[in-house]
Order: sequence, then C-alpha cells, then structure tokens
Amino acid sequence: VSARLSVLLCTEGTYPFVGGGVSTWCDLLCRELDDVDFTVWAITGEPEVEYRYTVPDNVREVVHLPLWGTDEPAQFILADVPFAEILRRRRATTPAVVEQEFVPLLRRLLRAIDGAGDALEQGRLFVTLWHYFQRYDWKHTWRSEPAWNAFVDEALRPYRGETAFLEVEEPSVHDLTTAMRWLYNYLIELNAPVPRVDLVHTTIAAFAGLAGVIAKVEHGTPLLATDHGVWVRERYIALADAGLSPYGKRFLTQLSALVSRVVYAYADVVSPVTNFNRRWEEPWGVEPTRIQTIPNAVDPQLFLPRPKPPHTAGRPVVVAAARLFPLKDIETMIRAADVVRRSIPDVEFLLYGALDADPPYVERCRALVAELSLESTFRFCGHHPNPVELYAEGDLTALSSISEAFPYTVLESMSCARPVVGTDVGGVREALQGFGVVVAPRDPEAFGAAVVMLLQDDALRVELGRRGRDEVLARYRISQAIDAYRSLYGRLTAEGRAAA
Amino acid sequence: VSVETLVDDVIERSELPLDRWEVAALLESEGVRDLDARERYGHADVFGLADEVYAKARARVRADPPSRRPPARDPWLRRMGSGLVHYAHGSFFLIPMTVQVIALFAFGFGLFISLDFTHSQFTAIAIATIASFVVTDGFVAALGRLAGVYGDQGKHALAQASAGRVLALGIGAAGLVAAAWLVVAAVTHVLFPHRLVSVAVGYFLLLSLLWLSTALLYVVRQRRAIVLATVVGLAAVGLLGAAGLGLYASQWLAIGSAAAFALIWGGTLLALRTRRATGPARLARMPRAALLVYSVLPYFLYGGLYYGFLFSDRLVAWAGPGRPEGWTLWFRTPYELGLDWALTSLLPSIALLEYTINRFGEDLVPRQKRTSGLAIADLNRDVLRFYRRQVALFAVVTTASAAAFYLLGLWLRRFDDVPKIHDFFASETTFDVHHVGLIGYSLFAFGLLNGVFLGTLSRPWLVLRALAAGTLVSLVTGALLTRTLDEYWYAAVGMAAGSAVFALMTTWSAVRLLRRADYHVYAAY
Repeated sequence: VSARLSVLLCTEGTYPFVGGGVSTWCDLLCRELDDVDFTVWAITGEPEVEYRYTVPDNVREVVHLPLWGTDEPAQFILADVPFAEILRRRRATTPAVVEQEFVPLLRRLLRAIDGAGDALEQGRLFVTLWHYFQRYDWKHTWRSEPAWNAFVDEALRPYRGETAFLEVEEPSVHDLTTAMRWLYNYLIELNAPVPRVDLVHTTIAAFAGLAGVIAKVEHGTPLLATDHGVWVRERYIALADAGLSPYGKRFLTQLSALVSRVVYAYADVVSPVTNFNRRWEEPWGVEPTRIQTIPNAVDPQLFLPRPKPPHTAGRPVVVAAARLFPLKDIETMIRAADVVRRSIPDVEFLLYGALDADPPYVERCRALVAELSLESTFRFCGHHPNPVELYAEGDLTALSSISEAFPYTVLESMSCARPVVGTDVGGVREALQGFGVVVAPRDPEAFGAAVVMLLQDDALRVELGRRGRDEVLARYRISQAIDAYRSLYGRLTAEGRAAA
Repeated sequence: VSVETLVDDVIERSELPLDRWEVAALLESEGVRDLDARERYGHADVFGLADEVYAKARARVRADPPSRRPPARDPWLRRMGSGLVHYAHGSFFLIPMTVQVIALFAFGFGLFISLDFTHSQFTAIAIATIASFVVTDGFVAALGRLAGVYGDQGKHALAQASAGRVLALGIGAAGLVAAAWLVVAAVTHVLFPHRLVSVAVGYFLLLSLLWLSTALLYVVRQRRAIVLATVVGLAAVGLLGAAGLGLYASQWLAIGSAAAFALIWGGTLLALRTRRATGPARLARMPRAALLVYSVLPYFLYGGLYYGFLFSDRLVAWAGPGRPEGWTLWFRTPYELGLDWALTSLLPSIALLEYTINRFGEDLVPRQKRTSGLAIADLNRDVLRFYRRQVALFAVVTTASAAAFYLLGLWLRRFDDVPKIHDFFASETTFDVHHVGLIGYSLFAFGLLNGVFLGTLSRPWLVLRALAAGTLVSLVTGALLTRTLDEYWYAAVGMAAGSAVFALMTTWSAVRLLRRADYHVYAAY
C-alpha cells in the first residue's frame, strides 16, 4: 500500500486542455498538493486538444475522454484495451444480448431522465450501465435495432394520448435521432475503465463526476465535488439560449439535471467556492451538513499593492478585467463611464480582456462607446500581458457582471489594495461587503455614482484598499484553500477506510 | 420592471420555459436578486418569483402556442437546378475517359492502348490493365476513405500521413504481384508466351502507379488535374513517338510522366495544406493501426471486388474455347466491342448515382424534422416513395439511353464503307454480347443505385456481400456455360447472372433498410 494518497481529479472542458479560471485552479491544486498522486479524468468535447498546462510529476496519468469527433470512440475510451478484447466485445454484442440486458436499463434510464426515481437509485442505474459496458461494445449496443426501438417507444410514451404537452413540444423523428445520439456521446464515460483510487475529486457536478459515482458504489471510494459555478444552473441558461428544438432542449436539460442530481447525491462533501452556490445546491438535494465552502483564493505575493505606473499616474483611472460577452454586461459599465464623466471629465476606463469571445457583442459595445462619444474615456485594451500588474494601473476596479460565481478579479484587485465597485451577483457581495461598494446590476446611475464617490474620496478609497488587502491575507490566501482541501482529503479518506 | 416584462423576457430567451429552475436561472442571469424578488415583487426569493413567472409564461404559451417550423422545401426550380449540378458533377468521370477515346480515334493511340498493337500485344496489355485495376483499386478506395475524409475535415497532417502509407502499401502490393508474376512465368507457361511477359509486367507496374497517383488527385479534390494528367500523358506519347521512340517506350514514359505529374501535384498540395493548417484539426492523431484497418477494410475490399466483378466475365471469355496454342487467356475483339457498346449506354445512368446520393443526403434531415415521432411510419413510407422514384428515374434514363445508343449503333452501321466502322460491326457476336451485356450492366448499375442507399446508411458490408456473391455467380455460371456450350461469349450471360444476383441482393437489403429508415438513419454513424 502506497503511503501517498491517490486522487482521481475529474474535469470537464477544462484542465489540462483548456485555459481559464477552473483550469488554473486545478493546476494550482495539483502543484501545491505534491504529496498526492493525481490521475486526471479529463472530458473534452473534441479529441483534438493540446496541453495548455505542463502537468507536474505527481499527475501520474491524464485519461482523456473526448465526447465527439471519433468514428470509433474505443480509440480514446478503450485506449489501453487490446484490440482483440474490443473485437470480442463487439462479437458478444448481439441483438439478443442488447434486448435482454441493455434494453431494460435503457428504459429505466429514459424514465430517470424524465424524473422517475430517487437520486441514489438513479446513481445505481448508471453503475449497472457501466457494468454492462465493461463487457459489451459501446457502439454496437447504441447502434442496435432493439435499442432504438426501445428508445423510441419509451421517449414517446409521455406524448401519447392525453398529455399536458403542446404539439410543438412533441419530438420529431430528427429530435429522437439526435437525442439518442446525445446519449451515445455524452455518456461515453460509462464505457471507460475507472481507475481504483483513494478519493475522487470532481471539479464539476456534471458528466465527469459519474466516475466518482461508479467508484463510490463499486469500492466505497469517497467523492468530493467542488462547485465553481453551479453546473446545472449554467446548463439551464446555456440550453435555453442554444436555439434547440423544444424536445431537444427538454431532453438535454433533463439529462444534465439527472446527472447533476446523481453526482450531488453521491458526493460525501460538496465544496462550493462561494456560499452563493448553496442557494442551488440545497434544493438540488445537498443537505447543508454536506456543504463546506472553500472560497477561491489568490497568491498575495504575486498580486501585490504597487504604485500606479507612469502612464496612468496623475489621472483618475478605473480598470476592469473581463472577457467581452453579454454576462459581463459591459454596456452598463460604458453607460456608467458616461455618468462618471459628468463629474470627473478626465476619468479613464481601461477594460482588459480578450475580444474574441463574442465578436457581435464587442461590436455592440464599441457602437455604444461611439454613440456616447466616450472614445477618449473608455478604452478596450485587449488581453493584458501581465495580469498581476493590471490592477495597479487604476485607482479602483469595476465589475459590472449580471451573473458570476466567485470572480477572481475581485480577489485579485483586493489583494492589490484596489477597492472594487461590483454588481450584487453571485458571491460578489460575500467578498466585497466592507471592502468595496456593491451596487444593483444593470443600474448605470448607481454604478457611476459609486465610482464617483470612491474616486473623489481619496481617504476612503485608500482605506478600503488596505482593508481589502488585509481581508485577502486573512481569508483568501492560496495556502489556506490548499490546506482546506488537504484536510478534507485526509478526513474523507479516513472516513472511507473506517467505513470499509 | 413588471412581472409581465419578466415573463416577456423569459419567453424571448426560452421559447417554451421548461420549469421553475430554468426560469430562476434565467432571472438570475438577468441580474434579478433575492433582494429584488422581495422588494419589487413580494416573493421570498428568486425561486418564488420564478414560480410566478413560470406559471404565467406557461399559461401564455398554452393560450398562444408557437407553431412547429418545419424546414421549408426549396422551390421546385432551385431543386431542379441543384439536381442538374449534381448530375453534371456525377458525369465528370466521363471526361478523362472521353479524352482517351478521342485520342484513340484521332491519333490511333491512348496512354496504354494503340490501334497498332497486334492481337497478342492487346491480350498481354489488357491482362496487365485488368490486373492493375484489381490490385490497386482497394488501395484507391482506402485512400479516398482515409485521406480524402481527413482532408475534408481539415486534418491535413493525417491526410498526408495516411496517403503516404496507403500509397506505399499499394505500390508495394503491385511490386509483389509483379515479382510473383515474373517468377510464375519463368517457371511455368501459363497465360501467354515469354516474350510478352516483361511487356505485360511493365504495363502492369506503371498503370498501377498511375491509378494510385491519380487517386491522390481525388483525395485533394482536384479532379480537373486528372484531366490535365491524362492530357500530359497523351502529349508525351505523341511527342516521344514523333521523336522516333518505340511505342512501348513512349507509352511507359508517358504513363510514368502522368503518374509523376499527379504525384507531385497531389503531394505538394497535401504538404502545403499540412504546413498551413491551423486550428484544432492540426492536432488530430492517427488511430491505432488495428482500428484503422478495421474501419477501412470494407472499402478496401469493395475497391478490389468492384473491378473483380467487372472483369470476371472477360477472364472467363478470354479463357474460353478458341484460344491459340500457348495462350491461357486470349483477347476477344468482338466481345470487347459488344461490352464497351453496352457500357457506354449505361454511362448516363452511372452519372445519375451522384444525383441520387446528394438528393437522398440533402433531403434526409428536413424529412426527419418534418415528421413527428408519433408518425414514424410516415417517414419510412416517405423514404420508400423516394426510393421508388429514384428507381423509376433510373429505369427511364437507362431505357432511353440504351435505346439511343443502340439506334446510334444501327445508324452508324450504314457507313459500312468506313473501315473502322466496318471492323466494329464485323462480328455478329458483338451484337449478342451487346444485348446480354446491356441487361447485365443495367442490373449491375441498378445494384449500384441500391448501393448508394446502403452506403449512405453506413452499411458497406451489405454491398460487399452482394458484390462477392455476384462475382462468384458470374465466374461459375460463365465457366459452366462457356465450357458446356463451347461458346466463349456466354461468359456475358454469366456476368448478367452475377449482376442479377448483385441487383437482387442489394434491392432486398435496400428495401429492408428503407422500410425502417427511422432506425437505419439513426444508426448511420
């Protein structure tokens, strides 16, 4: 028995293949917990990805599970399984086997997607499916005629006879085809051999977390689920905006909701990065006793208070760090800049952040700047080469989002002793109360007034900055978050051993 | 902001709100907080407000439900236009062929044929040509399946790597066959006299190289370059001949230069695209060899069997009674002319296949979207009706074209004083072969039409099985008939029987699949 703890770190569309906040957090976790052996269970959309992070030595293996983009998913999902075994499974997957062993499970799965059963039972169903797919072929099973017939029959059941559904909500043949192929793609993890570890830590309560459910049911392995955003909430929003057909939206949303509920149900601990997430976690089946908030953290030795650099010194400057897309509501920030200019004509807003996320939105923002003649007041500066120096360029930092979890930009700015004017969304109030100014979202007048107030009151601004820095040192240091995860790992594995 | 406005916003974003959770998530994403829910709307929190908004939105949607928006069909004229474009596209393969035929009649030579050849030379080179098709076409099909698809997906590095490997394998296979041929010819006296063996093997190797390299031009979707390669080759034959080089040498150099032209053009383009590739596709990696072979195998076998079938009756006929001493196979001019005449009649039908593939593919998703899941049988009926229409169209085109080319033949026969025309119709066997061949090729092309549906539904093994059975029947029936009735051209009857088996088996498969089009379209991945 190795003295080192082994952890399966489950990611979805993030570490180590995609950059961003969650990935950076994973990278930090793996590096700092160097006494732990990690296996990364990385789900991505397409197979064509490259490493965005150099994984440290204690990351023993990266299991890459692409959902789409391969004719033969076995290429990735069964990368270590000999071809002879793949062929054996393929031959064993006869229509009779599918009919007898798979079809009953498929019917139960579809009822579960429709909301039947409790989450623990639904979780066991996923494990039974996983068992089936350790013996039989993924592609041949899903492509088989009995499976399709059962799918169609079960999927149409709620729409037959008297129903509350509108005609437009009925599935077309195309909807059915797409929906069953979604199962084939999204659940592909159920075909993969799950490594034996001491603890499963999923970074999202989504498909990637099913590996944890399997390990828990099979071996009693403890499961920890960290919630950066609440995936099911984000999924509701993304799918509402995705332009799917009514049936497609319902099916995919319900599938996501099912998976999320199951992961929540099997998690020994759910660790949101902000208390704000609890408002969703609790009604989604996580009792408060299983929730332990471990806030996001920053490195105060990197994000140091610095004097303003020469090119902004002597002018009132507001900085913001945000990729340009609608949830950041940059338009409100622009209108607020207009409000501020009325009192402080030489004010300057510097917006740092990638401009490629949503080009039409960027155009809308530029048009608004032009319409308000704010060209010399509001600047789009693009990506900042060195984020740790970004906040020092301003006197304060602005965050105008209409939706957030626990934004790093707030903590980083506080660490740099620059107070933040932020909108009251997600965990922003939690972080800013007493250290910045919280205003209602989508209210340029209030936002602008808060900025003016802080820019004109040097003493208050400096005081808030100092207090913010102290708050980061007291509560949001990386070492604290890492210690919290380390002790959680220890506690959960000790409990797991005691239970076993 | 009133509750009604919130309802408007929610319906605007989510046409049919699903449940309170969706509404709550959308409200939160619009910046609505618990504070707002309490102070402005009198609810405990956003979820309470979401319940009200959801109920109101649902009631509104129920009172005035949005209607289904099935995809609109293109206007009749545009469908007609795109159909013609597909048909023209499908006819493209005729161009390099026509270029060769024109050259043959205008100058008396082609890339690997010449009116100056003796009958013995004809036989040897024809066998070499057939062998080159049968040996390389599996690799040609694999090239298209692997490198062609990778290229279309923008995975140019993979296209280049797989093209390189398949080409190397194909050239290697041709080399092995050539070596085996030489060894067997040295030891025994099968096929034909020694003096022609090296000629035949020379043509075989160079033609194999030519087919493989022109396949590269298909891979990079440069079909026009194939015409150019053919013209380059023909010009080389003419120039070298005029410069006093012998016919073999001229043709070999010409085939070699056409192949080199195709290889350099296609290879350079692949290399350029690989170098310029951007985006995630450039990161694609090749699957492990076993999986690759597994997925390409049916296409590889299909390539080889396709020509195996097409030439099966010729082999039987050439091996039939009436051969000179020392020749296992003997080229039969009247037979060839009859078959070529019949094949020409079928070309318009072959071009039709491209149209059918595209129309079927284009209409599939709109068809699925139009049909409610509760009326799944309608979809299958609809698809079967489409199939029947394609069959009817095929029958009309085939009949019309067969009649036209037959009448053209009869009309040409009136110019019996022109030597070439006189030679063409010199034997009554040509007519017999034409009639039987026409039936055979029509059935074969009809089988290919079925194959279009089976291929689109990703069931290549069904086509392959039918093709293998057809080839076997063609060989066995042909051999039995020619031997028992002592008439070599009955090989054509064997071919017709094989085609009938191919057509029957593929029809049975196609109808069976299309009856359950709902399932088979789903499973086509």
